[in-house]
Amino acid sequence: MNRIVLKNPRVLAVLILCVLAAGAGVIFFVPAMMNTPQTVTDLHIDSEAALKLDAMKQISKKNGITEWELEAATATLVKEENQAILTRVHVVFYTKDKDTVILTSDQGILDTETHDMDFNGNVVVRHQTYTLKTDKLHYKKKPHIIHSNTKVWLENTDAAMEADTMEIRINDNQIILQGHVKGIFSENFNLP
Amino acid sequence: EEKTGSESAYSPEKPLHITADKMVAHQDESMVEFIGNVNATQDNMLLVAESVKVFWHPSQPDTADTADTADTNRIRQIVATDNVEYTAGDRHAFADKAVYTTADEILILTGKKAKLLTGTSWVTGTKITLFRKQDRVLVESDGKTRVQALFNPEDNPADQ
Repeated sequence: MNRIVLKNPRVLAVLILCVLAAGAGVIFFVPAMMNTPQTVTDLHIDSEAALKLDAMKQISKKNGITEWELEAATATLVKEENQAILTRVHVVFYTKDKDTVILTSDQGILDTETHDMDFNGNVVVRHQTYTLKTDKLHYKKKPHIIHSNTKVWLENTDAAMEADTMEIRINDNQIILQGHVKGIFSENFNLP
Repeated sequence: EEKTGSESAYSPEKPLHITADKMVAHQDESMVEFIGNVNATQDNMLLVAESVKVFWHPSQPDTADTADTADTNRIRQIVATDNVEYTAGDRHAFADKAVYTTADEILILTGKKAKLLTGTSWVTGTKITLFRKQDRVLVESDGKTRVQALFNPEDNPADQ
C-alpha cells in the first residue's frame, strides 16, 4: 500500500491536501469554539443564594467544648438573611456530661449568626432511652435548649406520652412536656 | 388492722394511664414527674393528685436488654402528693401523700387525717398501709391523735 502512494503523484497530492485541510480546521475551528460564548438553556440561577453546598458539615464549640455537630445533604446559604437552608439534617447535641441528643429532620434552617436552628418535617430526637417525634422544632443556642410548640410524642422502653408542647434542657438532662399530657405505662406492675 | 375482701382492685396486664397538665422527665434520677390535675388509672383503680412521681430502676448498661430484667418491674416506686385521692373498687382513700413500692407491693397513705372508706364504713389515722400481697390494711396514728373507725353493719363484712 505505501509503494502505491509514493509512486502515484496524484494520490500523494490528494493526501497532502487532506492533511493541510485537517490542520487548517484544527487551527481555526478550535479557537473559534473556545471564544464563542456557550448558550446554555434551562440554567436556574438562585439570585438569593450566596453559596450552595452538597454534603455540608459544621461543628459548633463553646470554650473549646463541642456543643453540636451538624450534617446536611444540601445547604443553601442565603445572603441577606444570614441563613443556611438545609435538607436531610442530622445534628448531634452534646450535654455537659458528654451525653448526646441526636436530631434528624427533613428540612432545617440554621441562623449563621446566632446558630439558632429551626427544623421541620419528620423531626425525630433521640436522647438516652427516649425517642421524641414532632413536626416542628427549634434549637436555641444561648440557653442550649430544644423546644417545640406543636404536638409531640415521646416514647421510651416503658412508656408512651404525648403533649401540646415540649422543651429539652440539654445541660440539665430534662425533658418537659406541657398541655394535655397523656402517658401510658405498659409496665405490668400492680397498684392495690 | 383490717382484713380486706377478696375482690381484686387491679389487673396485672392492664397498662397504667396518666394524664396531667405538665410532665418533667429527670433523666439523671430516672424519674418522671406529672404535675397539675394528675389522674392515674389502671383498670378500675384511680389515683388523683397534684403531683405524681414515677421512679424507674436505672437500666444497667449491660443488663438493660436481657430478658430476665424485662420481667422485673422497671418501675420502682410511685409517689403522689397534694390532695391525694385513691379509689379502687368500693375502697376510697384520702391523704396528703401516697407512696407505692413495686418490690413489696405496699401502698402507704399518710397525712394529718388520712382516711379510708369501704362502703359507708371508714377508718382514719395518720398512716394507712395497704399490703396487697396479704390483702391486709394497717391503720396507725402519730400518738397525738387516735385511730378512729366506724364499721357499718349494713356494709357486707366481706368488703370490710
